Amino acid sequence: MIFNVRVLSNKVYKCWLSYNRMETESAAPETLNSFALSKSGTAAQDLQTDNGLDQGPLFFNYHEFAENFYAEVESPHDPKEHDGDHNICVTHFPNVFVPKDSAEFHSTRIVRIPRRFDVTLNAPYFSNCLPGWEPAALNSEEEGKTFQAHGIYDNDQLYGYSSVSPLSWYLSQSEFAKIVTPINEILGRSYGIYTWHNIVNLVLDVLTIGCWYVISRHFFDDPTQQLERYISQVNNSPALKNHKIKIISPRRSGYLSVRIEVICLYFLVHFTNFFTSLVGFSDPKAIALLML
Amino acid sequence: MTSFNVRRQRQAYPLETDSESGEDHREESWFKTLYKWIVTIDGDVELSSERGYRSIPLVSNYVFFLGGRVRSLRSTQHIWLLVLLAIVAPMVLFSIFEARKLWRTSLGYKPLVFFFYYFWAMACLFFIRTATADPGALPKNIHIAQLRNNYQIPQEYYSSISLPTPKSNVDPLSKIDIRYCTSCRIWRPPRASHCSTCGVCVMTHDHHCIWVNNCVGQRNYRYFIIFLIGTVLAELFLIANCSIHIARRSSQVPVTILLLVYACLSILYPAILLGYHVFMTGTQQTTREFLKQVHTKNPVFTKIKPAPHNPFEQGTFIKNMGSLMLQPQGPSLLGARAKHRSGDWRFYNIPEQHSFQRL
Repeated sequence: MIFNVRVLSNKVYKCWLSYNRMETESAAPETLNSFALSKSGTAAQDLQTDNGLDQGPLFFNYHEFAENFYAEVESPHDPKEHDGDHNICVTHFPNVFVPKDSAEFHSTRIVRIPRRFDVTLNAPYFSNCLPGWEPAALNSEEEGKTFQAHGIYDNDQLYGYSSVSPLSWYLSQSEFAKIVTPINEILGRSYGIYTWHNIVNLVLDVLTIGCWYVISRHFFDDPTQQLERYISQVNNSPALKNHKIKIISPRRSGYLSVRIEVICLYFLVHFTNFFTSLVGFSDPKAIALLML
Repeated sequence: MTSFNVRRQRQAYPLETDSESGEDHREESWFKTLYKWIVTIDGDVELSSERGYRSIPLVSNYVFFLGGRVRSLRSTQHIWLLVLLAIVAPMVLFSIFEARKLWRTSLGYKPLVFFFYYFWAMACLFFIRTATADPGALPKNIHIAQLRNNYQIPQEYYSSISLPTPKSNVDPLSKIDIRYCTSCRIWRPPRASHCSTCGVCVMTHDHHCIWVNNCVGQRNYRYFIIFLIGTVLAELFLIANCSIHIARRSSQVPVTILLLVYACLSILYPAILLGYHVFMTGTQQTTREFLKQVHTKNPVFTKIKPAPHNPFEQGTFIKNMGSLMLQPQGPSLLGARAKHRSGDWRFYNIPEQHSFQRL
């Protein structure tokens, strides 16, 4: 078992409890997908191996984590321990793309979109699931698929019980998938092994003993530049612009000097690993929540 | 003065002590600018925004030359200089004592001389590129989880996470294991690994090569293979040229014999290494994965077997080789020449967590 027992979180413990409970109740294997196997594909695999279930690990957003010591929204100055059923799920993170002492850092957050590996392993492929829609996401009947704040944690930030992030206020699952799909397609082409670009570059590089590498950089764009153009195009589309949403590549982390003068709450979407987007918005709901 | 450029790991202190705005610039003398352009060893804590080569040394063991165009490592034994000498020396001897004589014969030996120089140049230049190129270093601090408790790492981040692969539907044991690097504060992509010598995580990390004084990873693996191929071919042509010379003039050829013996001996290591890499890539394994699988640091006489349930398996030996040897380099993600603004988190030194903080 790869999992270290010492670091088993409450959430994983809940997986075991839920799984055992379902076993007792003779639940169908497919009902394990969403919650019982969440947060630990490894644990899930051990469970299925031990019990002969014909199912491998499931995809989830590995960036999120649970916390049980937080203040409730109704009593923001009273942080305390909560039971396992009321852990908050941390789905947005500090904005590490702007200086720590900048105003943007304090008014922006990052929602990370993880890479997934069940479609292709040859190129970076980002999750096309809006956070909370992954096969093994933590779900909350109380919250549904829209972010609802229940706890205050980590410098007065707001979190819910489920994997659903505040991004759910502004983008639907289909809208999000429409944005991410072309990114994955471009990356798939850029990182293709048997593409003319890759093979010709390599052959010419070898034949010219490296001279081609020096010359070609001045005449040909890197294929990933197409991603930059797409991101720029999406940033100007009404779907994102109306919500003041922007996508920024991490290759240009300096690009985060965003020329937005409206002081509001921003959320940043981060396509990890290492192709980044930024989502910002100004919304009365967000500001109201911030005031809590 | 920058608020984010802090001393190296040995002198790291909490970020909260840095409070100044990062937009002001300090005037720097032209001499220092020139000196730093020629060689950057320790990075510069006083500059606010600069190119990567002025800041990367703050968070890694890289040193840069010529404005970030060439990189090496500090605090290592520079065996690579001996390797470079071992590559250059036979070419010099061959040029002085052999080349002219063979070139001037009318027996058609010119192609042999030409190909020796061609493959020697290939070996030498791709050795330098392997040693000085970005192996695929990943930026740091991209996945900081929280600010509280001095950027505490959550318990979940200490776990190995298994995720499904394209083959999980047919093989439930096919999975991708990913880990969070507590040094670099990132979720490492598959096959990436942290190199303690370089101080960074490297994409598709094959191994840290002491002979080239650099990691061999996704962005310089093809250079490494071309270097090995070039070395083997150059040695073969050196053997051919020397053999012809000895056959034609059996006396007064001490340097030729020396070169022949040198070539016969020095071809062994790169040839064996190349053979290993052919079989490892053919079985869809990196050196690191292979050594991990056989549980040894000395793989000599160890049979190379395919790893079970390998999600990267392409089906055939040739396809496996292609997928690793021809893998696209991709852009440099921690570019030494790229400019960055002040206060860039990638160049923070966040203190590592104590063991008791992990519980």
